Amino acid sequence: MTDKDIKPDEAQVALKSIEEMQRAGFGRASPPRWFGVGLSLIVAIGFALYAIEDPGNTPALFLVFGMVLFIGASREKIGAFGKELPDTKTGMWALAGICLFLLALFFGGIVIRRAYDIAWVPLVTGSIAGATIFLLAESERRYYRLKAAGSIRR
Amino acid sequence: MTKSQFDAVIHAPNRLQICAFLSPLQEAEFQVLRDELSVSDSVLSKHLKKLEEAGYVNFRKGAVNGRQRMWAKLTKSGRRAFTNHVEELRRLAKIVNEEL
Repeated sequence: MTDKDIKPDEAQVALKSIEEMQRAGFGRASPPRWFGVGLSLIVAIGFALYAIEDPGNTPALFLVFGMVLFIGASREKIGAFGKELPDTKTGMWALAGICLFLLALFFGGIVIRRAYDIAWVPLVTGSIAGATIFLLAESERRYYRLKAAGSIRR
Repeated sequence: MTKSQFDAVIHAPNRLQICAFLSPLQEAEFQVLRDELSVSDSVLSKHLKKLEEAGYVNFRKGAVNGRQRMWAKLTKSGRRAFTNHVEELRRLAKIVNEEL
């Protein structure tokens, strides 16, 4: 296929059609608000429970398992799902940073709880983790909505 | 002179729409694609098969509420081909805009 096979007008029509379909894709994959709320609640409760009791406790493991099932079931019902990993190096670094932060919070909560026996530490780490996940979910939702509305080009 | 990156498999209107819809996504369900394209199941299947034969799309089967569903996903080569195709379209459209 060469330039001669596609007329310039045809190229413009095709580009417009591409843009519309991409916007439709973003619109379909936009996660519902309850998704972020549910996910952040599960993470917050999981973090708090894990820090309250000893590592390896059953309720926390059940919660993690429940979280995986929750994400899986929601994903199947939405019908279209956004990319799991960021496209750019910056995005990958940001994701790695968030994972490290959550890990530090997770183990930090356990260590502080054990060392100083402060009862409310698990609640604080759980709240911070839950709030982080909620903010991330909301910012992703907003990004998808803006993309669907055509407010962000790239 | 550089080789044109236009892709005949992708350029067909319905296949271009399929690739465009899938491009920002991880994957999409068959029914969602059909509704967005406003085509019949058979037409969509035909175009998806063409894309699959070219190695641009692959599928995953799963069950939702006991019903069989099929999910389509752009492969790496599919994404690359689509990106190159769009770049060529932009280049061509830009030439027209500059001439006006």
